[in-house]
Amino acid sequence: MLEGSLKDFTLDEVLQMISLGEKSGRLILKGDTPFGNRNGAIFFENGQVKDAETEEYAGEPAVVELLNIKSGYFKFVAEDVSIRKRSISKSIPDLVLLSTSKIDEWGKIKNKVSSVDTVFRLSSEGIPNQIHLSPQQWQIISLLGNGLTIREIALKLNKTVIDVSKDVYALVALRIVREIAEKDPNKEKIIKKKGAPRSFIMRLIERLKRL
Amino acid sequence: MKRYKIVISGPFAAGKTTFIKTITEIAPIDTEAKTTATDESVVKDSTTVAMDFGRISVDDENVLHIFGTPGQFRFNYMWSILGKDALGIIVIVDSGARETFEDAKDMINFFRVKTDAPAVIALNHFDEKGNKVDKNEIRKILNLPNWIPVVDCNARDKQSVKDVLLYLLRLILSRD
Repeated sequence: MLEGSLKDFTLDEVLQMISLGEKSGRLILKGDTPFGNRNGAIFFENGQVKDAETEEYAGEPAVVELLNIKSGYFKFVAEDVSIRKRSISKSIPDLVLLSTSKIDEWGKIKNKVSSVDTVFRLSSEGIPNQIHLSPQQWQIISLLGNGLTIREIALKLNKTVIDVSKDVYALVALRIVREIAEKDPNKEKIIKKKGAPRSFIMRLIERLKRL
Repeated sequence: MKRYKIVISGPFAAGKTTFIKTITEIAPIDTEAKTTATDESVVKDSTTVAMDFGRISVDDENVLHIFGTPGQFRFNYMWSILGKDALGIIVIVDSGARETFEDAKDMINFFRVKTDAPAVIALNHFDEKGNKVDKNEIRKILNLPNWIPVVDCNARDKQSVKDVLLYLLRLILSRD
């Protein structure tokens, strides 16, 4: 087992050790990324990345997020990962490049979408006569129309928020969708506030009947 | 004194102020101002800019406050403020005002993401005649999920307003 802080070893160094040693096992990572705090694992087989998962994503989007952890904690546990299904076929250098390019893209796109928790509505005004959309953009339009945010769509499609943000920005620029509200991403995690007591509602019903 | 809150929302001129005036036990407090937008002034002379307020006292210790939101999207900062900690939301839609249905959809989506409170759509029939939609049509137009009910309503009729409130209260009880 190899364990430590990413202050002592950079993630590149840890990856290099696993790759050159042709190790198999699970690299657990926990720390801060530009997208928030992330917790997940990358699975290696003979030094090559085989699969990855975070609390939200699986496969390549999970690697992209985990490789952007700059400060935090790592632990490598050697184990047999042969029963795990391969979801990633890119080499480690390619994955590092991909995660770096995603973070560059995010730097450009983050100022163009006000928040990944924004709710959009479909617009019927000012749409150009002819537009060409990708299958993913059609999928995103449908999900935006159902009130999902960029973050929720990314989770549903197992894409990064960067990929979805790019498409949403294009749809906003084409005036196909427009922002209407911002959702609180922690709303589901907040303990539901206690509502009115049942007895109050019952008394209110009786009071209304008498009005 | 414990105060509980129900929020009445809906597009411009849907009947929110009328709904509250019909049921409140005190003289309603409203914050109407003269409409300035040309297309709005054709519909009515004044509009709610902050909130309407009504009240139903239940006993010596408990009271229900009824807040009406402004209808226009530009006042949506008030929707958040008023929707916070509400027991439930009633979104009033004028069955004959098709031009407002898109706004109603925005409002429903807004409250769906801003609050967990149960919501009811009150389909207000101001005019007996005219090109009105029924409950099934409005459900399709607003793309409503099954768990948001639509009830018919006449905001000028006290029994009808009571029925909408009772429907919402029973929905709140069923969600507990």
